[in-house]
Amino acid sequence: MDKKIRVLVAKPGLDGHDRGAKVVACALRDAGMEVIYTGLHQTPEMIVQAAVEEDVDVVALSVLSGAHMTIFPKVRKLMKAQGLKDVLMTGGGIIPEEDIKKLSKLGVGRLFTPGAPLKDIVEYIRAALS
Amino acid sequence: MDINNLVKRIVAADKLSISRAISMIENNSPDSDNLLDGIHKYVGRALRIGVTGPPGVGKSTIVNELIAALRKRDKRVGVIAVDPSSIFCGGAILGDRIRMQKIGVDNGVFIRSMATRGCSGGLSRATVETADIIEASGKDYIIIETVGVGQSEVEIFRSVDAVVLVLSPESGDAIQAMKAGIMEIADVIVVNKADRPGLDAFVTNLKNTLELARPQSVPHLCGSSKAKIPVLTAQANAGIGIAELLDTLEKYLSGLKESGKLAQRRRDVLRERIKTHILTRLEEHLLSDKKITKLVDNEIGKAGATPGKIAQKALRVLINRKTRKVLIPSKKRGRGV
Ligand SMILES: Nc1nc2c(ncn2[C@@H]2O[C@H](COP(=O)(O)OP(=O)(O)O)[C@@H](O)[C@H]2O)c(=O)[nH]1
Ligand SMILES: [Mg+2]
Repeated sequence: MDKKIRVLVAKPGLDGHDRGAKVVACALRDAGMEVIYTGLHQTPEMIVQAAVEEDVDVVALSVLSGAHMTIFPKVRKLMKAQGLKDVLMTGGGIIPEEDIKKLSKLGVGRLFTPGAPLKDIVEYIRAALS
Repeated sequence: MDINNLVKRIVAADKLSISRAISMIENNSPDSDNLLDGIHKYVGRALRIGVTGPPGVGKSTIVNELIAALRKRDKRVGVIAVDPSSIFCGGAILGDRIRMQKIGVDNGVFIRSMATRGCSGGLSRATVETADIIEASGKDYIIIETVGVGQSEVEIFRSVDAVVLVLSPESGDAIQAMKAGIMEIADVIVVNKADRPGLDAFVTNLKNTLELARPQSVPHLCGSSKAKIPVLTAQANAGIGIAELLDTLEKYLSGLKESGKLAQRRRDVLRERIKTHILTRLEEHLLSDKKITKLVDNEIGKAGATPGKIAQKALRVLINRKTRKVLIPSKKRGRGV
């Protein structure tokens, strides 16, 4: 058995559909990664608990509700507190460029906006972990 | 890696340490044997329950409810949810956690998803060892969920104390397919989705099938060899039937304990584990030993060199003073020399 890249894909917040997150999950799976998919309505605490228990290399969040400026920093902060400082954080959503910059300063990795090619996400994760 | 320190943190139920230790097992880290030695004295108390059945029947939903019910009874719970890796790309989508969120954030529960990683023989070993790690953190119950399809998944269930087979009124075809396999090792059957049409007919049919399909001497049944396997119904997404399931399991397990069959079953499991351990070690060595490979290649085709004689020659090379050092590593060295 060899080491596999493990990714947590979660959909925080209250907005209702997770099609985008599922598509990304499948693309990562097809790239040979193990995707732990936790579904809708995740609180930051639940996301970080799952990341701890699953020993993931990456936490990927899909945030479409516009709440990205609260959710990403909150999850990042909890991750640090739980010893997951080195775990890559990425994700996607309708996020303005200036917010992406602000989040990057907090240690959040690259964020992808709708329409980003799936292979970019796969390649970004591979490169960031190598 | 300081194994003693890691063991201490696992025993103190530090989730990140448990999690990293499981990864060591999964990735076949050279330290994993030492780690398992270190936690050994904290293992053996918890009850282990396997939950299996066809995809979509509600296994994860049942596990979710079992976790909540056990927490209410003040029991700590570990869960391992196994899903298949894709044979095409080696990746996997592990989605059992979606249905396991009733309890939310809780230090008395530890859930780990695991992919089969296409290695049939190693899967049951990795699962049992993962169960050991989680148990060492002070859990009272370990629940292992798998889709009961492949041989390796069936093997996992030889290592638990009781197997729950989950079906639904729509599982008619699945029963035909499973008759000979998992059906034989189930200790309790739950027909879930009792809200779906066709429940009564399905249960009647199932009971008839069971009478025919079940061999006389199922080794771990607690009653007589002809004891009837309990068939329960449930509607897990509404929490119905779960308390009954848990009561049945507890009664079954205490029956096993009192009759001495639990201890016997666990001895069998350990014996099997030790055998696997020895064989894996030998196989790893055999495959990596160039001298033996060469010897075998040279012998093949020689007059009078039968497979049996060649094997004997190879064994003579394999088992000598030098290989002993390689096969039985000193305290510091680990697995997979
Ligand atoms: N109608 C009905 N649906 C259920 C019941 N239990 C679970 N489900 C649903 O069945 C689907 C599959 O459940 P899941 O637990 O993931 O099945 P698994 O693949 O066996 O683990 C989910 O949509 C559940 O909500 C039940 O008792 N009745
Ligand atoms: Mg499931």
